[in-house]
Amino acid sequence: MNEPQNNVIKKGLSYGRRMRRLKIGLPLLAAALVLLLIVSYRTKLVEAPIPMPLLNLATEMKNMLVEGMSDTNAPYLVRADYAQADEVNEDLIHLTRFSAELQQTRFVLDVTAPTAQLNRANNNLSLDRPVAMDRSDGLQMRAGNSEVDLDASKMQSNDGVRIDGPDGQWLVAQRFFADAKIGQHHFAGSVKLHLPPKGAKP
Amino acid sequence: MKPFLPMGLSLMLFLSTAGIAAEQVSHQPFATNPDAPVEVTSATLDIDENLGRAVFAGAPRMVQGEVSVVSRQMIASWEPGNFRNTDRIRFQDDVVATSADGRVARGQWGEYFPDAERMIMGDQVTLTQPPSDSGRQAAVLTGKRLEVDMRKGESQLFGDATERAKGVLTPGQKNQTD
Repeated sequence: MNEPQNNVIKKGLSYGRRMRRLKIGLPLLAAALVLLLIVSYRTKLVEAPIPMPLLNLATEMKNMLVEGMSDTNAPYLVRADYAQADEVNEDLIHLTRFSAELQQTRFVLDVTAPTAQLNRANNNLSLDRPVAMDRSDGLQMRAGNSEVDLDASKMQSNDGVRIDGPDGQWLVAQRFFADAKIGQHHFAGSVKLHLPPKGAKP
Repeated sequence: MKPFLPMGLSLMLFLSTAGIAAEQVSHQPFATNPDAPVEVTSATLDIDENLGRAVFAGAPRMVQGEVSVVSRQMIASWEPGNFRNTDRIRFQDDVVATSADGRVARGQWGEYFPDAERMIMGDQVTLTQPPSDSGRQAAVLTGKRLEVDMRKGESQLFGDATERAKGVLTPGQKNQTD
């Protein structure tokens, strides 16, 4: 007569207990992973230059909102109604209804563009016309297609620019280049500055 | 816009101010219209917000009404952070101011103060007036410094201790002043 075999089931956990553990463990594991992702994502939002959190996002995202601090310690806020990764160039992110808010020393700067493309390889942002830049001190800039170097805080356009002041003054040029870090702006090509007479209504 | 002083009187004033810092007063050669906008055109413009400075280069030209000023470079300045209030505009190198009727002031530099609507030119200033069809005489006046009240249109041409203001008149068709 054969020796009775050890019941392997009895040595370990019962089937019911295993299932109970899985029922509890799996949701906990999933929750932990989600928490880990959220923490990782939020950390990148704060630490990375403007749209770098998009690096690890899925191919598309609605209502993108990024808060952070520039390398000059200026807080910024970047929004896009829709962000989508390019199908061919994995470094390229297409942004729809782009806007950004940047706190500067003397004013707050709001930038909007109907569409924009972020190139993650060189951290360059291409803004499509019409690009609007409104400063809280009353200056409003309208430009054509513009390029922004996020690392260097530089912006340029060869597509025409017009700046309107709060008192009716305006400036037009064919090209401009701005270095936000040092507060310098270069305009070229048929530059024209208009200063209204004193007392004139804008 | 009223023209220079009657040139005969101008010349008398010139010749009578033979002392130090000789002074010539002329009337309204560069009066501007305060209701007209100021427009500046150039090839390039560089703005430094931290310094409160804007440099126009590449054939810059400033126009208000019928008066224009050109130079090789124009520099507008303001208190940093207050771009709405330009203190002064400095014109550098080969400054030429032209009035509606062709009167021309030339100098090495000039400074325009928008609030006071005053302009100063130096160091060697030449004022030229072409003859007019009405018989106004051609004239060339030289001095060390020109001060123009662009609101009133009054200008003063100064000499200095070493070089007095002086003028040359070229008679026109008839001795008519305007």
